[in-house]
Amino acid sequence: MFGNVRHQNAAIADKPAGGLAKRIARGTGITLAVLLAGTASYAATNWLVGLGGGSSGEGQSASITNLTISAIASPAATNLLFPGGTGDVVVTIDNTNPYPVTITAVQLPLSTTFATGYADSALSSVVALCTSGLSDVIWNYSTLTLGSSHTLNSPLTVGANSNLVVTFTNDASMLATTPLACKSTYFQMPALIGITASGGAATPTSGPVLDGWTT
Amino acid sequence: MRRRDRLILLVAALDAFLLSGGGNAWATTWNVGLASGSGSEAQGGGLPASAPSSPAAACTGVGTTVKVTWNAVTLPPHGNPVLSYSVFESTVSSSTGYTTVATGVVGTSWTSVPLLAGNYWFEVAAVFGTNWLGSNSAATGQRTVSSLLVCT
Repeated sequence: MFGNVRHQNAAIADKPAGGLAKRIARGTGITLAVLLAGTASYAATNWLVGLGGGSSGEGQSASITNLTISAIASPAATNLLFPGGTGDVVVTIDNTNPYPVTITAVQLPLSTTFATGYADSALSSVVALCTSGLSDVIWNYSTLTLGSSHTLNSPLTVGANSNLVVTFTNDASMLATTPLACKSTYFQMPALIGITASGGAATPTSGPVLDGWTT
Repeated sequence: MRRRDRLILLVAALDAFLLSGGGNAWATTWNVGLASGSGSEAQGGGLPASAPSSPAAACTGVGTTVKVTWNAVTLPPHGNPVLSYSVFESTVSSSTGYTTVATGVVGTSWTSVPLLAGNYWFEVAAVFGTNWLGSNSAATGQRTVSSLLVCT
């Protein structure tokens, strides 16, 4: 084997520079291929992570899973929604990745996208006159720009293969014109457009936790 | 140093760079997609918990106008609604025949327009926003405007 190597090296030494360049280029390509194949181990130190249900490719989904944000009835919101006021939004964030993921910002839907009112905290029975076309309940600080980004007051780190219950304090807004039918109802907020998150070593946030955005 | 050796050293340096950190910088821009179908829950409050208390009506002494006053309602402990009041008037009795004579009243008093001859009673209700109308207060005492347009 070593004899062969020596023989190859000798051959290289005898070849013109063009052939050497090809061999080196081929060697570099092999190196890059190895790096590409082993991306998971490197990228895991600091990956960007999106929400569940996104358009991740096959290669990505094999090594990273998007976060899932879901409605949760308990703990109940402390600050309730009244016309012209703001109230809390409660979520649970699931991270099925084998490493912590830190969220630093959320991207909101349009300020013209309304929540849907339900008669029960399980969000199973829609209130007829408090639908997403009528409720006048929106994300606070949402704008007429789809996906406007809002930095969290404090980054949230969800532990590996774990979940975190978060109350976004006063980040729902009820317009003064909201119909009477929306009183004492539970709201499924419009789906978030996205989050800014990255995976990597970090200390998980202890839940349940209060957080949110104020601009 | 021969040209071949320099090239080999260059490749080695490139390998070292990629292995030591180049891969990380490359991976930090790996965006995994956008949100779809996330869920979150908020909860709506109720109507004003109580009607304005101690409603009263008094002749102002200016023509036949009447000033209605009341005590403010207590706001919800965990909520920040836009609060105003609506005022209702009856010329029939203290318990029936009320119609709305003012909406969006900010504060705890309201003064009527000059009233015609007749008997008058007033009630007040708190409103959250424009549509969440609470229950009416008790009726104020009777005010009377005589045919001589004197308010008593």
